[in-house]
Amino acid sequence: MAEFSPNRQLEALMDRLAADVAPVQPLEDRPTMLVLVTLLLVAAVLMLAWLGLRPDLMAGQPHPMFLLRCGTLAVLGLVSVAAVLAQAHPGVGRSNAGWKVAAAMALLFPLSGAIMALDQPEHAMAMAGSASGWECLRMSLATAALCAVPMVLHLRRGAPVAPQRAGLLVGMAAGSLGALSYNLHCPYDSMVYTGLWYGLAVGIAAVAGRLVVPRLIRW
Amino acid sequence: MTSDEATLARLMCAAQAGDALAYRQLLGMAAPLLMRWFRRKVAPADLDDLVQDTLLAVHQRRASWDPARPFLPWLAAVARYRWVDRLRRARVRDADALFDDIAVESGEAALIGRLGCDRLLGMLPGPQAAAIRAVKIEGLSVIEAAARLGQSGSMIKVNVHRGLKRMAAAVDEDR
Repeated sequence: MAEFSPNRQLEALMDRLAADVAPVQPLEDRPTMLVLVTLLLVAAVLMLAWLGLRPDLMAGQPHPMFLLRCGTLAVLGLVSVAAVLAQAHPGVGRSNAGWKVAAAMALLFPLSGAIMALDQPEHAMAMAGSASGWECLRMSLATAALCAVPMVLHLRRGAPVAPQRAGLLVGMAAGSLGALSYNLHCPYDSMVYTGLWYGLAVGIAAVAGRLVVPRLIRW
Repeated sequence: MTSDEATLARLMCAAQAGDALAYRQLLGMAAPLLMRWFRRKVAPADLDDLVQDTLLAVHQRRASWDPARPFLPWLAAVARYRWVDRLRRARVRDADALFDDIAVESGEAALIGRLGCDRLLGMLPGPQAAAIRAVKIEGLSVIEAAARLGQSGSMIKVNVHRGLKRMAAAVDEDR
């Protein structure tokens, strides 16, 4: 870089920055991950203490829908949390798109629910009007809001270069974790119910994250 | 000393630990790289400002570099982010601004070139890239840009808007 002769102002800035350099701890993902796991556990325990465990789990015979729902939400949550944490450390050429695959897989639930609803309109109406659905939504979103906090704090300490994507991911991750914790109580096994109310919970959280989080993490 | 990945990463590691000398050296190596990435990617009058902005961002966000990962892609992501932000805020200015060529020795030309703003602009469809170049970088008015590019005035505005949005979403991509 021999031919380069920067101007005096630039040199002065660099001198000032160098004089001002204090040691920093490189931003690590693990502490945020630990906080998230703790939050999720506390939320789940509170939920169970307050609302109780699903009857089939009490009996030690989990329903297949519960297992599928758990697995899907856990995978979607884990993959999106990992994507959120990675957004804090930018790097050209490092965008990971695994979360898109996980989201597409999770979409199978609302999709199957919609197909079932076409086949059984009366059942679908009953599920859509279910008061428990609103509770599901409320509890999931409340837990989601809680889970979003450490992720937003992590991004604020990092350097997210795609704030809108990061926001969407925070929403999706938090929504999945919120729904995952409520899922331990939720007594419904209907495909339509799961597709609709769980789909809404994760979808609303994702949209909210996409709209709200970018303002909080822009730099 | 050359500004290769290994040297920069080592200096940045020391900088994170608070080594002012290493950090000053790193900044001195980063500045010409930034100049090169931003050259012809911003109105000439803005070039110095943008480099300073980016160095400040590097300073403020230095904890976000993970020492286990390469340094140049991190620097490039920070630089592109600042650049797109600058283009968004750029207003239409004099049409007769001249470009000042900055000679920069090409060390790891291929790798470094791949990370720069050229590449990001190159990801856009032709009309969007041309509209951004004309209006946001060369500083033509919408009417002048429309006449030169043969797009209508409203198309120019739409293309600038869509192109910037697209680049903002793809800051860390490399195709």
